[in-house]
Formats: sequence, structure tokens, C-alpha cells
Amino acid sequence: MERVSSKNLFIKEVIATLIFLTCIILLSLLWQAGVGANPNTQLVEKVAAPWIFGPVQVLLIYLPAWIAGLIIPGMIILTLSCLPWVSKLLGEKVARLAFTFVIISILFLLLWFSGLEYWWA
Amino acid sequence: MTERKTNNSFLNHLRPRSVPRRAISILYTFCLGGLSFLAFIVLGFTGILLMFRYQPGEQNGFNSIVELASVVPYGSFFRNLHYWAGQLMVVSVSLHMVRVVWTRSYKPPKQLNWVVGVGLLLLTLILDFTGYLLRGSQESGAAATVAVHILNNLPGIGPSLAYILFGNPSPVSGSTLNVYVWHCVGFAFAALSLQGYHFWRVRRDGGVRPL
Amino acid sequence: MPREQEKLTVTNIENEGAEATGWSRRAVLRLGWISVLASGILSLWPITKYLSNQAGLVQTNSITFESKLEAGSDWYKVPNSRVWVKRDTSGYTALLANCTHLGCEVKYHSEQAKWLCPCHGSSYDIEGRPVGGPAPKALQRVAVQIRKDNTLTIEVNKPVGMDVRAI
Repeated sequence: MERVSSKNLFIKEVIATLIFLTCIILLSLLWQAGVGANPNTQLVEKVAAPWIFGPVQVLLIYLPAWIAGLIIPGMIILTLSCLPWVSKLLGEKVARLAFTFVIISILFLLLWFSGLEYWWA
Repeated sequence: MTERKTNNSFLNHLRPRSVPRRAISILYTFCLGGLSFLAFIVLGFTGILLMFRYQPGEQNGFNSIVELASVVPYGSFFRNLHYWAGQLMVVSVSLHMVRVVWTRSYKPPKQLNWVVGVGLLLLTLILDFTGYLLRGSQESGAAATVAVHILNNLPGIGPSLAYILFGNPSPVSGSTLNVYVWHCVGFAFAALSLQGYHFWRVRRDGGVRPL
Repeated sequence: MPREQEKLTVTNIENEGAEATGWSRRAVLRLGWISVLASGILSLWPITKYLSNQAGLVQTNSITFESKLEAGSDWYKVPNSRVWVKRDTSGYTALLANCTHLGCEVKYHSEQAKWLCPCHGSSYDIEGRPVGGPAPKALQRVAVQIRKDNTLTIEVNKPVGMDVRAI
């Protein structure tokens, strides 16, 4: 494989770092991170999970807690961990299909979650 | 003279003099792994700053967050940086995983590093969750209570594991000493050392580190 | 440079000496790894015991409440707790406002005569029986005792049936 001096790499790193730091500082100046509801005041009407855990909250509404909270996340982690061996034994197509299925399901649940957040009374 | 020589060889040890052209193509890596690491550094730095002003506890947690967000000079800025770096890290780590599958970099002989990467994804998610609990708001209390109830379903070890991880959170405040220690020390250092191993293996497999 | 060479020879000599006594470097290293692993596994038990002990936890077993409720009252929240009290024609009853699904604190809506959970949308009727959402059973009632000075003692950790009343 063709090799190039790592000087090129260094320049790209500096550029990427500067762009990233600028973005994150702008985000911090423009949007405040939420504080949430004071535990000593009246209870809130509904609690939405942080968006990253939205898929789990959606599952918990419809499935028993041990399936939604333990079995399904466990299966996802197991599938991801085993991907190289799936690709080795069953072929790369199967591995890619499994990975795509996991990602699409999570995205679907995220979409469902954002819908719930919007429509809940 | 000798010192300079060792310095150079140390740098050489960390970074190769030359790298495969493909590995520095932005369209190949999209810099996602490196950006995740950068976000992690920002998180560590701002996290230490926040530790000077934060106290965990059912009452203290929320109070110190409100104080940070409204009273302390630049408190809200550092907290926002910590928050946004955390959100971006989850996104960049996930996209990094998609990229690795896309470029077939997960396949043998790199399978061990893929598993380490899955572990790092998991740690990132746990760090995000425990950070959310430390807000000490009503929402954090609900999240902690739900997490404890889910873990209690694990046969045998469930209840002790839930207590070790989350302490005894109230349904209206998830900020406990246990969550604080795990978030700032336990999981943070686990993620740091696992990242070191991850990058070392990337370098050994011919990639570049970290950006 | 010469110093480095010196070091190398020294280690070589040491190695040879070790092999002469039957302790090769590899064997020592392996022993080291095994002892590190063993001590790691052995320390797992004390660490778990240390971390999971809850003896120091302050537990609230009973709450006292000066009741001014009339017979036929609606649910009333005992301040600074998750306990609600009601007095109907047959006496006092107390209820824990923890959702039976995953423990979130449920909120009483008097206008709807319903308990609603903020987390996963469970709902309970006025008596705390589940009517919607994932909640599996009714909200837990706990024992109430009326003392001589007419204050109530609520035993938070003593569950009772739904029809039990303190008179």
C-alpha cells in the first residue's frame, strides 16, 4: 500500500481539532443544557428519558421490564460483539445484514420515542 | 543529546513516520474515532472543573447544578461544554462504529479491537446515563429508579449490583455518592485505559491514531 | 551507547544464573501473572461485600402525621414523603405513591380521580387499581395506626390489603 508522510496527517488533525472545538464552543454558547425539574417542587406530568435512552423507554411501555431492559439490550451487545465471527462463519453479507437490522431497529425506536414525546398529553 | 534521541523514539513509538495513504483520507475515516477521543478529553477537562463545584446527594445534587448554571461565573459555560461534548461523543462513537463496519475494518485480524470498541461504546452510554443521573432533577430520579428496578430482575446478583452502581436513589433524585464515584472515577478511568489499548491496537494494525 | 551494552550483558548474566537454578524468566513472569490474577479474583468477594453492605443506610420505617382529615376526604399527601392518606366512612387508609411497574412516583389527579405515572403512562383509579398502561398491580397500601392524641403513625414497610382501615 502507498504510504505518505505523517506530516499530512498532523495538518489534518489540527484542522479537525480546531473545527470540532469551534463547533462545541458555539453549541455551548447558543444552547443551554437543561437543568430539569426541582425534586422539591410539584411532580412533573411526564418524564421523557434522555434521547439516547429513548428506545429503552419506548420498549418498557409495551414489554415486560426484564425483556425490554435486559434481554433486548443484551442481545444487541452480543450481536455487535460477535460480528467479526459471524462474518467469518456465515459470510460478510449476513454480518452486514445483522448490523443493519440492529441499527435500523434502534433508529426506528428513536423515531417512535420522539413521536411519543410529542403526542403524549 | 541522548534525551532528544529518546524523545524522538518515544514519538516514533506513538506515531509512525509514514502512514497508509488510505488511513488519512477523510472520506475513509471521517475522523470519527479521533473526534470521539477529542470529545473525551474535553469531557475530562470540563468534568474536573465541574467536580470543584458539584456535590452529590438528594438535595445537594440539584442545588449545586442550579448554582453552577446560574450563579457561578462561567459555570453554565463549562457545564454546557461538558453536556455538548457528551452528546457529541455518543453520536461520534456510534457513527465511528458504522464507519468501521462500512470499511470492513471489524473483520479478522482486527476482531479483538472491534470487541474493545463495543466495550467503549457501552462505557460511553453508561457515562452518559450516570451523568444524567447526577443532575439530581426529578427526571434523573425516575431514570435511576427505573434502572434499579430493571437490574433487580437479574437473578441473584441483581439487587447488590443495583446498589453498588446506583446506591439508594430517591424516585425524585438520582444523584447519589455511588453514581458520582462511578461517573467521575470508575467508568471514566475504565474508558480512558480501554481507549489507550484501542489506539495501541489500531496503530499495530496499521491505522493511525488518534485523529 | 556503552552503558546500554553493559545493561544488556548484565541481564544476560542474570538470565543465565536464573536458568541455572531452574527459574527461567518465562516461569517467573508466568508466576507473576498467575498471582496477579489470583489476587484479583480473591479480592472480588471482599470488595463486593464492602460495596453492597447497606447497614449504614438510614431507613424510614414509620411516619407520623397530624391528621385533620374529615370522614369522606380525598387523598392527602403527607408532606416530605411519598405517602398519601385518605379517610373514608370506615376509617383511615394510607397508600405509597410508587408505581408498581418500575417504581416512579405517581401523581394524583383529583379532577380525574386517577393516579398517573409520569414514566411509562400507567394509570390507576381512585383506589389505586391499575386501569391502563404497563402497571401489573394496585398501588401498595400500608398500615396506619391512630395514636391517643389522634396523630397517625404510618408504617411504610408494612403492606396491608386494600380493604384494611384504621378506625
